[in-house]
Amino acid sequence: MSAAADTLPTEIRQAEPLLSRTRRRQLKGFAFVSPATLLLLLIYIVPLITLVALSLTDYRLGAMATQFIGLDNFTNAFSDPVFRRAFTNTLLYVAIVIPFGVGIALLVATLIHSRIRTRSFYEVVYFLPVTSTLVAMATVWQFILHPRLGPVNAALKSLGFGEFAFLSDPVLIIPTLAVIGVWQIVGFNTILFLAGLSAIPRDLYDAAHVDGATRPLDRFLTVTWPMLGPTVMFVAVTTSITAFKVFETVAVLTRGRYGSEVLLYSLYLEGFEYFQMGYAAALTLIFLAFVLFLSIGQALHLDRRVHY
Amino acid sequence: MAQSVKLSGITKTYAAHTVLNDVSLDIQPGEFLTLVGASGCGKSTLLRIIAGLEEADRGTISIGERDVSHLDPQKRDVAMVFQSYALYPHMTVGENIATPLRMSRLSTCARWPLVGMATPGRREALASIGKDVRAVATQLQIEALLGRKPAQLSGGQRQRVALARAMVRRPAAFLMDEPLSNLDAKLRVHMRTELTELHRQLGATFIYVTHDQVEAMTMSDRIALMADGNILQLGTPDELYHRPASLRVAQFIGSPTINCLEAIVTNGVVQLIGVPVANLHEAEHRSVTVAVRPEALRLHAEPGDVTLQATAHRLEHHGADCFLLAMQHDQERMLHARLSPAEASGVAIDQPIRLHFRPAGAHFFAADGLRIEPPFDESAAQAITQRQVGMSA
Repeated sequence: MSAAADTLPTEIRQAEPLLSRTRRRQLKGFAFVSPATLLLLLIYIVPLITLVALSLTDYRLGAMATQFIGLDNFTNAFSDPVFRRAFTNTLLYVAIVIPFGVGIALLVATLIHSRIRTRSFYEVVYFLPVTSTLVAMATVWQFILHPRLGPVNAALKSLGFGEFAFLSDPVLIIPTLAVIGVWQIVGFNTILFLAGLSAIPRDLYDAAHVDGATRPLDRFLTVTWPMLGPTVMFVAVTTSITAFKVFETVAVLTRGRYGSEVLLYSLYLEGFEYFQMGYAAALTLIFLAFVLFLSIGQALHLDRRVHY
Repeated sequence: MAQSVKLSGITKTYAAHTVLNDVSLDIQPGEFLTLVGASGCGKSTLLRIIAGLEEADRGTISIGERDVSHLDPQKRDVAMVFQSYALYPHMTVGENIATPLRMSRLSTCARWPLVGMATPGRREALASIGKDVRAVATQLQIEALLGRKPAQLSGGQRQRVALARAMVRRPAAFLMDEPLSNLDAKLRVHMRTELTELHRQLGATFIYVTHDQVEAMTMSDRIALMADGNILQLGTPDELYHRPASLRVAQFIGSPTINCLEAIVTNGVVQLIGVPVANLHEAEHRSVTVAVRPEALRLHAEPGDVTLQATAHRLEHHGADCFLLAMQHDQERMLHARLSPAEASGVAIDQPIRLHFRPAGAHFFAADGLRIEPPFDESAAQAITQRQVGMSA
């Protein structure tokens, strides 16, 4: 090889390629990364920058003149009782949906998992709410929870309880919406947990059985719960994000009346009903920051206790 | 301590498929018994039934003097080592080994997270568990690994941890389900020795499942060879090799596989390729299989030998031994012969070759596969020779 190179004419041997080897590798790398980068820019980064820019103005849709007003939108938001109520409502909603949405799904999944013949039947039953459109289902819920016509109140009345205005009593309204939220998400979480359960090697249960973990609770604590760690983390994060985005049920069932404002609904009102684009942008940023903070915190916290 | 394990009439059926068919087995205290057989022969199911992970349809299991047929695994006082080791991946090695003790020495309440902390006597129980875990770890030389997770261990180390978890309870019997099959070849041979050594140290009853006849032969006190849910033969490795009860046993045990040739029987004389090889007492056999171990085939003839004409096909060098594959002429069977390297050096490939064996060193099996014992005393040999003379005259 070197002998052949020595016999080559000097001009050819010294002729450098147009670009050096490292440079070409770099360019190739950039070429491979560029489509994803471009998409990321178009879909996330540019809109986010626009959003930040908008949130610092008093821009209204169709307005001729727009002013830079600094952080006024944010201070307004936090001093606005409606927004603060939307904020606490959302937190309450999330606080109910996460534990029940995850807990019930885990319970259902462990129960279904040991069924052999009926497993697919239950899978379908629990997954149905996920496949249905929530807007249409909300109407059904409206009927079910109706103070006078609904079967829930009829049942409660027959048991000697009074009549409950689930969708107009300010105390009951957010928990009621949360119950619908749980109903909607349990099926999806169940399927995720079932996938997680199927991935647990049977041998581990056998080993636990021989080691003396005979009771279901011991088996759950020794094998199922720790082995489901990664799944629980994933389900908890997706559930919290879904819960934060609660919108349809509020839009259809209450339209934010009786103190049932939630973050996304007030954002929608400000932006698309009142056309306060600047203010809506500020709310969106607050919403985003909150979801981001919670999911990162949750991921980091759970990550430490989860083995992979 | 070491206890006997007695199985009687164990039957297990899945849907229409009979996995175990009326299996009975007496395992002595402190014995190393191997269940060996091809996959699907029911050996693993039998082990799981002994462990209590599955319930037999019929039959009883006793450990020591106790009938344990319907007891939970823990109450049976057996420990199991799994093929996959089945270590809890989220626990450290120490926690893994401690699990069986936690289950037996801590009350249900004390095992609860948080709530258990305040249970009386928990501290003392944990201290005694820790002491026992360290003792077992020292015995298996894995003290240094106690703080690690199973994922950070090599296959051999995981194997030791699985053993430690089984040993820590001092069970009446150890059940092992192909524990070495996930190790590489060299480590497997090493662990074979270690396991036999461990068995001697502990003096406990070992019931060992494998599909590898070499493992079965090298480690066991006795072997139960299984096929189709039945025990074909139960005996020492020596008995199984030298006196196989049936053709299937003869073919399963030994590597390379035993050489089988078809022979016809006329007037009680077994004739292989027209040559009388043995005299049978019972005249009702029509055809028999003559089976010859590879080491029983020789290149040089001795008086009274049966000779097979063959073509040398290939030589396999194994260092101390050399296997000759030769195509036997009349029945077109590939024969395996174990030769010394010196003998093998004289073999010319693709050339005719003569292989000799002593009839008394061969095994005879009837058409139903069962062993026949032809008489091989002097008088019988003479009778054959006389008849041979008579025929040629």
